Amino acid sequence: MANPTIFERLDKLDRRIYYWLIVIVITWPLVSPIGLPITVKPSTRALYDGLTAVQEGDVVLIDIFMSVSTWPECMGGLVVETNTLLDRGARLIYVGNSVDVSRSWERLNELVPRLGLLEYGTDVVFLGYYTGADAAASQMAVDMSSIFPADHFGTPIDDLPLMSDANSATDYAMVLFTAEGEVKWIQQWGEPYGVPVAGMGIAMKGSALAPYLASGDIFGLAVGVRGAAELEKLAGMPAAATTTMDAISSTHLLFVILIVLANLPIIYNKIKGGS
Amino acid sequence: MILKDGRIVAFILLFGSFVLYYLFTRMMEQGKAFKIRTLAPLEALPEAVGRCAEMGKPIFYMPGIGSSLSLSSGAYILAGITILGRLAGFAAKAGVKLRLFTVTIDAMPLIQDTIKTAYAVEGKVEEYSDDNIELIANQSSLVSRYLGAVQRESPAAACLIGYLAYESVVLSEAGNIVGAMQISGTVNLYQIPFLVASTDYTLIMEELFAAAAAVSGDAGAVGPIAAEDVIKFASLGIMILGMVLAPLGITFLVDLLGL
Amino acid sequence: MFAVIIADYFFAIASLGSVAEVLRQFAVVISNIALGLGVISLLRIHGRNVQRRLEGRWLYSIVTIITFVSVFLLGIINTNGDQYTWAFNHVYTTLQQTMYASTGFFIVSSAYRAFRARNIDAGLLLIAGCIVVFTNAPIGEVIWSGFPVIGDWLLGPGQLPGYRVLMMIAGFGTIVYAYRVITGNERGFFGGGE
Repeated sequence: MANPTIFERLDKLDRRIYYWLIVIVITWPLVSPIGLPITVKPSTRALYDGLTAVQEGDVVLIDIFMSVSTWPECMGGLVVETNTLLDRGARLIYVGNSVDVSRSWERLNELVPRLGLLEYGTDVVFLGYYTGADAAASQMAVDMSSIFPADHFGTPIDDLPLMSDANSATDYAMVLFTAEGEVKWIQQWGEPYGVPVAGMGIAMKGSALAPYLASGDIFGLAVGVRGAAELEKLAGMPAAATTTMDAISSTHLLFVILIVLANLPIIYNKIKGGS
Repeated sequence: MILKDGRIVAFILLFGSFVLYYLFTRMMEQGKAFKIRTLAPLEALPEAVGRCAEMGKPIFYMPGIGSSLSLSSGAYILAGITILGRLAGFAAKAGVKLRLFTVTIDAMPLIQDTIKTAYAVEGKVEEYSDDNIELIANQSSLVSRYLGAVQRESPAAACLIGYLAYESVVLSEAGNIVGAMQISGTVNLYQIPFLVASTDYTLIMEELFAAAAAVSGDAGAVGPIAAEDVIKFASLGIMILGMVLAPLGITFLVDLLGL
Repeated sequence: MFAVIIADYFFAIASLGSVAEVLRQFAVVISNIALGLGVISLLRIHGRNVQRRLEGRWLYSIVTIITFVSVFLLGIINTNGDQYTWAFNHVYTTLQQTMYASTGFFIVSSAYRAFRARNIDAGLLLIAGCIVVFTNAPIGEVIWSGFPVIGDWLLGPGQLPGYRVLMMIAGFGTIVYAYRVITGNERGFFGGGE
């Protein structure tokens, strides 16, 4: 049997080869950053502008829907959001529809130490995990205390001064979603009560969130690691997401190169006149 | 005004839709036949089972993640389970082992019942075994378990029909690695491109509901699907009208819909 | 019950709102009950696997049960305790992130196999895909400044019409499902054949 041509080898390239290539191109820029410039998208700028327009004392609800697996995409953006809102003097209430939201809260506190310096119960509250998705969001818009009789740490909600100012949707300046779960906030808070909605999505959801942005249902959107890096750039706080962008660049470049290589056998066959 | 501002037209449209669904359901109960068009993924189910029978390998099924009680995923998981019933019937008839992987704990009794009923209809209830249905704790564990099972058991076909999230690309690619024929279907918008690229047949969006309705054949399932076609045409008409009026600066349609 | 929730959305009737509030709380409580149901089902099924020494699976079921019981007990004792936190941070977090990260490898594998220009449609998809890839990566702008321009158009006006149609269709399907649940035609969750 004749030796396979290079094109036949490319057609049936062992996936282990490009899996190793991925490992190398991801690791290299993390070890030795390149520092490519990042351009900020209008949607991310709109999100940031919305955050900086918050007035002192405004209450903002932040829904941490992300699980630990989506930290690389969304945690950086959440850190920037938190820091920016705290700079503006906003009061923050965190909830989460993901079972590991407590872990995300702890991680956020590690990355934003000033959260621990705030007066808990007055400037910031972590209400914790909730189930029920749309039903819960709908009920929260009417009466938060019916969904959260106590916060994550067991403190009765009546003992939290912030919650007396923020028991229904109309008390909130905005609601920010993280990773997913945007639909329930748009449908249960945005449309009925006019509460501005914005947030971050995982990269996979970028296309799915674009219609909401275009129709004005959300006022700003940061998508994936790139969105988080753009937020970091706008806020002047380069961190993990910015560092990761070089790895994103190298991986994407490898991706396109592999696709070109994958198409060479087809081009070769077409030239040869085969199928 | 008893109706809330900004929701009057929405209420009329919703109520009108319900009336249409009811009418079409009644029409079907009274003998009018609405036929759901041929759906290639549904037609491919016996082909998938036949492939498994020839190769002496099992067929895998994954009805999606989430909860059957949830608004976001429940409908699609139940649709996936309805289609599972048909597949189970084919598998029972052909003597093909049907292996199911699920994280939907609340739907487990339903899944077991569906498959058992399908086997009973084929007169092979003794071949049914709960052991072929695996309940896995969560999404990531499902991915891990499914990958291992695919590598060890090399199914000749796999079906991923229901509510799928990030695992869709992983599970479908795992099937491709072993050369399995794959049928998929989901309503999760951002997963559809992955499934279309990775699987042989895909039920896109509403085709999942239509397939489930076609499988059940129930007037209460098919009638509303037929009514939906009328609603879609009406929506199309409104959109075209809007497209024509908007550049002319005529906003009555937008104002009307916003009432 | 469904009619009350739907009516509450459309009608400004105070008493209806109160009833709807209670029903929404019911929905949340039922969701929480599902968690407990899940635990029972999980233990029952895996316990049965162990009891019957199901070939190839019973060892994994033992691991599942032991892991569940140990983390559960640690959580009962103290959710802020070191051991519980360790289990969460160093086992759960790590494993979750690992499994999600594997998606990247499979996407490349899938793209290498599927992104082939066998015909014009596939070729267009391929080109659009590459442009969007370079739009997302800063290196794209370095290679050619046109990538973000075209890519942003593709991600915006280029794909919006199609996506909106799909979203509307999904909405119609959900309304049909809601109708079937309200009228009792959706008996899927009750099980049972014809």
